[in-house]
Amino acid sequence: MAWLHEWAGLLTGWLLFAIFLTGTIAFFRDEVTHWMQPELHGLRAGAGAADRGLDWLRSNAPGAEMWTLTLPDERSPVLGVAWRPAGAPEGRAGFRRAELDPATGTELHPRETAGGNFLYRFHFELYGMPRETARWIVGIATMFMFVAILSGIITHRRIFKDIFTFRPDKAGQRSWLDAHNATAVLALPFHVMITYSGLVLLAGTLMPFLFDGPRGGGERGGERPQARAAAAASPALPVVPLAPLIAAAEARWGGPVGSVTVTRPGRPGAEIELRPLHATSLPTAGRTGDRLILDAADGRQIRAVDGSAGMSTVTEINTVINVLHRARFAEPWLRWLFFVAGVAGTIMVASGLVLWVVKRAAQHARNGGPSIGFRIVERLNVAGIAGLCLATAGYFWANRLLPAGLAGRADWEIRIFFLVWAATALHAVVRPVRRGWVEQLGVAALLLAVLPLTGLSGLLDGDTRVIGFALVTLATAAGLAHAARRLSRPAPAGKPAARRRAALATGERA
Amino acid sequence: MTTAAMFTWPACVLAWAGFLGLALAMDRHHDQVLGGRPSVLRRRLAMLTGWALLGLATAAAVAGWGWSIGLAALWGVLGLAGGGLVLGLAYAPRRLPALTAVLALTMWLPAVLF
Repeated sequence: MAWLHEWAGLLTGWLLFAIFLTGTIAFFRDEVTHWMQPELHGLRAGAGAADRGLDWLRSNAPGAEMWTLTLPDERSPVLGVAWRPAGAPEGRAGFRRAELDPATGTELHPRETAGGNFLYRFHFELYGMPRETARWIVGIATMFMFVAILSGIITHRRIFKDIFTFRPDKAGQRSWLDAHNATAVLALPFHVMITYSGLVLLAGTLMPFLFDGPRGGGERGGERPQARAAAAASPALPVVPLAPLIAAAEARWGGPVGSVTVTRPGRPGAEIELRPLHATSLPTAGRTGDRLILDAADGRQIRAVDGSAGMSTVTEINTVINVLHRARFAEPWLRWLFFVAGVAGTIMVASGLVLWVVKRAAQHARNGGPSIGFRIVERLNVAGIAGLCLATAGYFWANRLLPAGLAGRADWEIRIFFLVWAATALHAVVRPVRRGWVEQLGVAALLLAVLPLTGLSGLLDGDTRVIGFALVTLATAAGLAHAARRLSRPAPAGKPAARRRAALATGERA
Repeated sequence: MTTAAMFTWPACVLAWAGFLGLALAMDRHHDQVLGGRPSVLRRRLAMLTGWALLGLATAAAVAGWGWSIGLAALWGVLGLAGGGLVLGLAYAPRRLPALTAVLALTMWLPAVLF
């Protein structure tokens, strides 16, 4: 079983590290996006934001077939408006969008960025390749992860006995094994849940025959009455104030309203549709499709739609798993817990990869030098682990350094992420392995440590999302710096092999 | 969401204390924290208290989040508390009893503050 665990882990390890790292950050993708748009920092949500959005749409998008308001919430303070001009093409492409200050209703012009969405997408669709292919690759890696978890429980039989054991000062593979075990076991239920639910999310790609019929849950809109939009534009009819309607809906659902859609505004038969922000418990998670449909002229309820009605059990279970994987139900405390578990998973994968090298180092030294495969693995570790940390730091810096008005700005940020990553791979090949670790970890730590200064105005405004981002950045910088410092100390005297092993073992806890 | 915030920290502290109990039932960790091997009675007592406290942590998580989310959240709580304890045992094992007493005192803070 040990060989299965080692090879399943090694062959997909770097990919799994990238999936875990970007996926962990993606728990906070709205917050990351917010940080990457400093123009939006320090906004205060005011009461009556929805009606201010309505006013803005009245004067800027008259005659539209549909208005949509995305209300500010604790994760993003922006009031989003979208509208579909008359005769616009079907689907998402037909929408025009703007972002408003929720307190004043004035339009904001944040810099263009893919923000946290890039990291989120990369986490399961990679980049620059057909979506289906990427999902296949990630799906297969996820299966390997599942195999690695199950075989790992059998291989490391002592993990439950050694569950609390971590000996950071022991040289050699011992402390790496401890770190690997501790992060694996303590977050084991999380690992099983996140891997299994990830597999289920990708099941549609891997096993399309499972989803023959129309897929429920995904298509939430059901019978949206767009087809009737052709009604003649008679003298504009008013839309009732939204604030009381929203308050009533929030009392009914026991949670905040997330979005408001007005169909055929200002025309006969105009309707208001309210949707909850998120479900408040897992069994009702399938009900994110809940809706309240009201008459826009007088606010009378036309009908209430139960999002889970007509959903098959399978669809409902799928929705729950989906919601669980993405922590979509989670309020801040729980999101942080998931984030910490994600960090543990990231460290587990990284320590497993380093362990593979450390375990073989002595053996290779005895047998007259490392094999070519060993050398490839140890350098891939540098670029795959330290390099990705550096590339992520580079992505955030690109967001601040590129001119705010640059054309194709969002693409340039992503390009810089990959350019930095490619540079770290080159660097890992030309530098001695240990120097490679120290330099890349050191530069990443430095970049991340200074990064919060670029969000200073948001920090001073007391914007909690910006403060949270700064704290995580500083903690990560401290961890990477610690690793780099320990690696840069002169190796203890001894045989070259032992020295190398100790060197590898003491450093890098990224 | 006041209730969830109120119960998160107590759940973490209870899980920490529960794990500490289980750790004290093991020879190595007992030696690290208190010195010497535990007697049979003490081992049983530590084990029992540990599991009881973990049960209370579960109860706190369920009280804060409800069954469905509470059990999912519990995994995070256990991971966080266990991870903290692992670091505590590695770097400051002798201070753990005092630290746990302080944590137990802070456990009530959210209920007072929120």
